[in-house]
Amino acid sequence: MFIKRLFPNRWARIAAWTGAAVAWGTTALAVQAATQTTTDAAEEPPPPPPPTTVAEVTTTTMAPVPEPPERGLVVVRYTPVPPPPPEVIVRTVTVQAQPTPSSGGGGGGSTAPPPPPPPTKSKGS
Amino acid sequence: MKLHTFRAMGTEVSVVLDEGHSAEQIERFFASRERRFSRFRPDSDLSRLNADPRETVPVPPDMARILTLAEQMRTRTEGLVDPAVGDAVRRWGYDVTFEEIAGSRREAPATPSRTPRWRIDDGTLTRRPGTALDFGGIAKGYTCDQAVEMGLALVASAGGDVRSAHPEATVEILDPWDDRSLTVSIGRGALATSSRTRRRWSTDVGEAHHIIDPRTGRPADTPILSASAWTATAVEAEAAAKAILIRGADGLAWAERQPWIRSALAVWHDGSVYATVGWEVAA
Repeated sequence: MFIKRLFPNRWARIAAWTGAAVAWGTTALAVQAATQTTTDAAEEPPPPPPPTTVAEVTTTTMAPVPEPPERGLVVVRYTPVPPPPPEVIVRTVTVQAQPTPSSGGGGGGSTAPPPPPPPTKSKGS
Repeated sequence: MKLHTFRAMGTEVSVVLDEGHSAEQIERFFASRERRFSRFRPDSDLSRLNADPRETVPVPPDMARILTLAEQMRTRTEGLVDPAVGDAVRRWGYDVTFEEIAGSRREAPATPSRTPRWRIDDGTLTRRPGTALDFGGIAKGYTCDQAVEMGLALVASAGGDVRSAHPEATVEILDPWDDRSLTVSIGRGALATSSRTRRRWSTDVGEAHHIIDPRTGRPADTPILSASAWTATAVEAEAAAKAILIRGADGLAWAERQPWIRSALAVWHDGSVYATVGWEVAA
């Protein structure tokens, strides 16, 4: 009755009901969307922490290769090996005994050149 | 020709003797030089000189001679080889013979020591108070030089310092792993190897070795494990090898510019071996 009195025209009532339904649906969707947004926001993982500072590594100042001399550098050996273990016992020059014949004399005149001495070793002290 | 080996000056000495040479005589000669130049013997001339409080001291002729040579080496190496590091060596814990150091732990000096200055003029040593001299390898090289020049041996080798009067002398240069780096002909000349992998000991700040850098008063921080030099005399070879080792990366380039160094070789920290040109490689 009230509706008929307020909207006496049939098409006006239809329009009023349609508008009310649309308004109700829109409100319902808006409320649902707002609730979903709130939930999503609550479940979002925290932002990743800022990148941590990389620990400083002590770098050695060891030169990779020697500075080349003007007349050239000879690579005698290039076979990288681990550093030698600590050595605390003194062990120094050793020379291999190689008995060599003496340049025996006898008679005058020229003498043959002396034979070379045995090789000596040098390792450092 | 025969080989004779004995122990003197805290190391093994090898000499090549020809006819007329006396093994006993050469041993006595090395013993006499040890009594003069060892800093480990309290009765040596050097220990008495270091204990003398005077700043200006007249020294015996042989002491004046080795001091003059040491002064020349200090100049040629631009101050890198200086017996006045004796104070720093002691402060770093090398105050007893190396046999006594082995296995022990020493305290590092709190502050780097400053190398005092000294000079020798006409047989008179002038030095700053507290200056302690340590000839180290210079004394070994000097003794080898004298032994050969005085005709006591054809070849004399002490602690890696070799001096030869034989035209066909060869030397095997060993690396810290005891592998042969190179066999070279030195003829009438000298060769010495200086290494920081030997005579090492522990301190409270890490490992130390006996090669002191006079610029810092600390064990040399260098990429070179051992360096060898070929020169005319063993004193020169000893000084050259030590200077190359202390200089580090530019050691070989520096050696190549020195007219008194014939050739040089360095064993790098990674085991590689580099050399200047000029070595006469023996078979």
